[in-house]
Amino acid sequence: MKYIKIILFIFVLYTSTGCYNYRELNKIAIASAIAIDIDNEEIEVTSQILNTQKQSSDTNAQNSSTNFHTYTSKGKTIQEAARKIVLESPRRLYINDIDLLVISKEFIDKKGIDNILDFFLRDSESQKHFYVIVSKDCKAKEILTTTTPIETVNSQSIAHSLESTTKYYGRNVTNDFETLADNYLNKKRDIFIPSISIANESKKANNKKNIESTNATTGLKITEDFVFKNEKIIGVLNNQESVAASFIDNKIDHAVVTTKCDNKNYMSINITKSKTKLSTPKNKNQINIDVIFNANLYDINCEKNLSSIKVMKEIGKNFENYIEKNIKKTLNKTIKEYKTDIFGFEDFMYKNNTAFYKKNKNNWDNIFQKMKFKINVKLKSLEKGNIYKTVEREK
Amino acid sequence: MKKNVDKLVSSIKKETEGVSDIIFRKKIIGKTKIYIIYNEPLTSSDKISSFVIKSLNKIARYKNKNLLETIENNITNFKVQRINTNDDLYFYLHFGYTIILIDGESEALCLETKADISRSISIPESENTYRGAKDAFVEEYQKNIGLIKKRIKSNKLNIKTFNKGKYTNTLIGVLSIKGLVSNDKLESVLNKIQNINENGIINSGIIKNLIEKENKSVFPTINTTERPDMVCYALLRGKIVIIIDNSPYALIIPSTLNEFFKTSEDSYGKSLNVSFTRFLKVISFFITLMTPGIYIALITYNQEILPTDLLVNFATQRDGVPFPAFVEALIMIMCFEILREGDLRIPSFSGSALSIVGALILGDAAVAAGIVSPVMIIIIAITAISALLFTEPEIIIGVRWWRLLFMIGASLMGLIGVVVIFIALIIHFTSLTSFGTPYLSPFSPYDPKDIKDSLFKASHKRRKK
Amino acid sequence: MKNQINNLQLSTIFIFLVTTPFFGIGTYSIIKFTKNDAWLSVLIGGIFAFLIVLDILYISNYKPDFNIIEKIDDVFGKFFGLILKIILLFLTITMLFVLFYNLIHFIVSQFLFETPNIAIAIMFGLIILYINIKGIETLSRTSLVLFIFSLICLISSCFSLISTTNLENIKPILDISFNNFLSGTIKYFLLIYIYMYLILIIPKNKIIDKPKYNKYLIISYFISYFMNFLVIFTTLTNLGNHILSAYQYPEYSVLKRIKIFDFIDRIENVLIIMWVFGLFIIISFIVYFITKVLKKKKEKSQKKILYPLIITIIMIFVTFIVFPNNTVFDFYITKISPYLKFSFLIIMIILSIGIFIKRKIRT
Repeated sequence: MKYIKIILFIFVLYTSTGCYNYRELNKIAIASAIAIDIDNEEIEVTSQILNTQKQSSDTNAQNSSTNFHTYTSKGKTIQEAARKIVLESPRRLYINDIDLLVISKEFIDKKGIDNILDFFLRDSESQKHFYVIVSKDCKAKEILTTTTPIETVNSQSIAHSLESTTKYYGRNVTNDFETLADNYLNKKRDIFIPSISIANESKKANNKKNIESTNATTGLKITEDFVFKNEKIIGVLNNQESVAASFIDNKIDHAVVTTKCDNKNYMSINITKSKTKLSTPKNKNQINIDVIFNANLYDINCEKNLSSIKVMKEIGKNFENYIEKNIKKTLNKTIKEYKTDIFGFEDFMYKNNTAFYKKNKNNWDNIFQKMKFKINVKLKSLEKGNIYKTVEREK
Repeated sequence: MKKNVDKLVSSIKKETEGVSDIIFRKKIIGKTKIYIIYNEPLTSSDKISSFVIKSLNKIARYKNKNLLETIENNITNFKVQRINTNDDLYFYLHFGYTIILIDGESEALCLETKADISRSISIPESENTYRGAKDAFVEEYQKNIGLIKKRIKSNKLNIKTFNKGKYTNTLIGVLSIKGLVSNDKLESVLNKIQNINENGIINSGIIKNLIEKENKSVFPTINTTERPDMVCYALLRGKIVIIIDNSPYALIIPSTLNEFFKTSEDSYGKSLNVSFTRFLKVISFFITLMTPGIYIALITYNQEILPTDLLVNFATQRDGVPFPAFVEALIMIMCFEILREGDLRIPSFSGSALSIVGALILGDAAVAAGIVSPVMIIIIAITAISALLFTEPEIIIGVRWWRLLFMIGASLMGLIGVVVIFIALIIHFTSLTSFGTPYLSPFSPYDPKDIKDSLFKASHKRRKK
Repeated sequence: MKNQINNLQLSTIFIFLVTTPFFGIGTYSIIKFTKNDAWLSVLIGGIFAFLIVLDILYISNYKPDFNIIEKIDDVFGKFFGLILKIILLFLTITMLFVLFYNLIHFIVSQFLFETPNIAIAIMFGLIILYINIKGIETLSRTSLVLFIFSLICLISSCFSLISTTNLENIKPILDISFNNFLSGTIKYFLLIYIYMYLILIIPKNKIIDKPKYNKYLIISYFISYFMNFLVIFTTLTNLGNHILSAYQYPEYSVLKRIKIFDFIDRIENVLIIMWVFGLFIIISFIVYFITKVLKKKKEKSQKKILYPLIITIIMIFVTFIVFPNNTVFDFYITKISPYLKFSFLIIMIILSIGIFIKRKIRT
């Protein structure tokens, strides 16, 4: 009796559960990036798939394949196009591990960004840690088919470049998809996404010869930020404005700021630590931005006596003024010229100055245009580095 | 028993007709005839000639009417007993005693003259000790009891003996320390042994299976050991020990899961170091159970847990392998179990050839031939090495079944399958009792006194409280 | 010795009873109403639910050797008690369907989306049957072991989410209308207490250390209160509240954000096991409850398998007839179930009043 029970149990188990969701590793196509274009009212989805074939033991330069491959297909919706890839590729698409999502500017101009956010949020399998960028002058497909030197996989090269930019250059370009979606769904702020383009236009963008020469003929470069209003793109921010924007958002890790030290020459500092605090006094239409940062002086091209306290303070003041001016310029541009709120000031006022916000909720656009910003930038400590004099020949 | 000694001797001869080597010697003392009967392989001729015959010669000079009493008082054997039934006669005869039959008496005398035909006390063969006493049990009951009594010198050491087995009449001894052991457990164990009705009991394994019948699990609830110091530790903790004649393995009752993680070297180390080792053992128990299952689940169902680079590496390695992951794991585990069994059986002078063959099979050749992927070999190696940390072979063999179940669950439903089988394992453990003690004892019915010696070993001061 | 349950094990069952229904169904529906003040409604609702704990202690003190079914029979007599028992049975069967559907739908929609529902239902149904055959002692010991794992998962996930907390997400405080806040609080309260009463099925003569029953129950209520609060606070401060009201299982999505040491990335599948354990224990406990309601005292143990088998089979097959898809389930949770839960509360209040009157009559 006991054995009959066991056999029945195993039989029921085997036939009922079966291996419905069983995915062998060599039957899935591991995608590392996805690009979305639009082509005559049809959505075109390109996916960059990592090549997991065994490399043969004799490395013949002509026979070894690249580490990734791209597949493209079209359809009326994103899901249809993504599934149609299986007509070409031998394996089914697996998008759990993607690093990057590239959207072409054309797509956003024609259809807006709602659909894409909905698709990726609804998919229960995918993770939401990937970066989102917009491709500027070319189709998103071409970004993915460009081979890049140093890093073998294209999407990883772009992802690392984005991370290094955020960490060392000061622009906040690592837009995590979930944060982006959260900011987008929040009706009280707008989003901005960095863009990428091919560095030198050349016809030899997608073959292996690109990697073989040390002076690469093509490459990918991160360019300006696109500013959105609701779902369409409405303007751009260049490099310096973008750095100022990350100052306001408190997302600076390291940055390099350059300004004039006398009429002809420039000097640069490397910011090591920076913190921004936003605050608003009660019942007033004003936001105070306080920036405190530490820096190292790296490159100075004028003759200055760096051992005097007055000179160092003056240099510090130069930088403070420069940063303040930059922030003001960015605020003017986004608020007055583009009429967008990419820093979430409306949300900030709602959370911290609730009574004032509620009183003026119906008239918010006007009030926002008249909002006063009090910017206060302070350099806390400025280190000089190894030498305490500037290098010059004695005249 | 018949009084006429000739008739008695002829009936004994008829009864023991096929059994050769029973020696009958006739002697006449004064006017009475006595017969000396003994079983030659079991008795030592030195003892018989020096104790029995010599002293009988001396007794022959005494002038006394009652020969039985005279012999009983004056014989130089230490252990003398009177018997009066035929059953007892045969019993003692097969035990190696010498029987003296006196004509005209209804009782006979039996004298202890056992020969020592067991091996001498040596190093334990199956349990490795690097600190601790190196003597092990042998196949002789009295020597084993002697090893234990050498360590526990107290009046409270309680021993109850039984003779079980129709053809073997094996001596079984149940030891416990009065005052430390709980009486109902002792009663139930004694009852169980009393009710044994077998043809023969050759070694302790048969007793183990007979007593353990209530337990329908693959995991053992009785611990076996070859070392007297482990037995003494167990007795001092209030457990019951069964020692069986002709078997060098003693049984310790009851045993919870915790017992299989302890060794007697633990008392030598500092408590922090010992806690680390014990923690390692618990972790390796779970590793050896669940690693193939988790690997299969991660590769085939939940690939998102692996980082991308690892995933690409695995996919590259699995490229040319024709079998699905479950079949691959099954093949490798089968190979490993065969090797392990063979290793135990093979005599030591061809052991090195076996390990070379094993390394060749499980190593490069299989990978290069494309039968398995290299990662699978690492997984199986991890599983196998973690299984080597346990001394009790029953645990390892019990783990085999559940490892297979985990693999089946993983290949059916991925990580959720592993979770379901894990819950089933925990239910199984918590419903097992080992003679009344729950199997997961200091953890599951939480016993704060015992937990100080289980997962970690608290320092000596704390354990005293 | 064999039939006794420890106080500690009982309190872990109680903790599971209070925290698990909150994880899946609760967060989603409370956050929909009281968007970023959900943590406050959990705080205040929990204080009201404490009154229910005191009520449970009061009921358990009257004739402590009876379980709740026998107490109903005792207080109300046969006929009226029978009516109440039938209503109680109906309510617990709906609770069973709700929880079982929640478990299977969660697994199917997040992990194994191509497997049919029945397959996973049979797998879980088998282990629920297994633990019910073994009895309540095994269930309580298992719940102690599984609770330790769940606690480890909860604490590790809360610690690793500290770095991405953003307290701005819960401001402004108390901005929503009072109606919404009140409805959120009442929803939390309704969700919790109904499962708390189930603990009364275990009579006190099965417990080893009777005098400490009160203390353990109160302490375990506070622990589970703290756990619920921790879960919803961590969820709210990590994700923004706009995206949070869009997700179906917010805690699961929060766990997707954990990133330790730069390479342990997607361990939400491992940490969500705590929820699977909790649901397993609570479903098995409800099956045990229904078995006890149906079975009369004198039945022999040969039929120990019959009642749990029937109940499990009904549970596996009827759940998917009652809730064919998630929309119907949502509709049930938001519109129909509050009335059923109110009726449960009314039954229990009637029982407490009955006990009170009976005590007064006696003295």
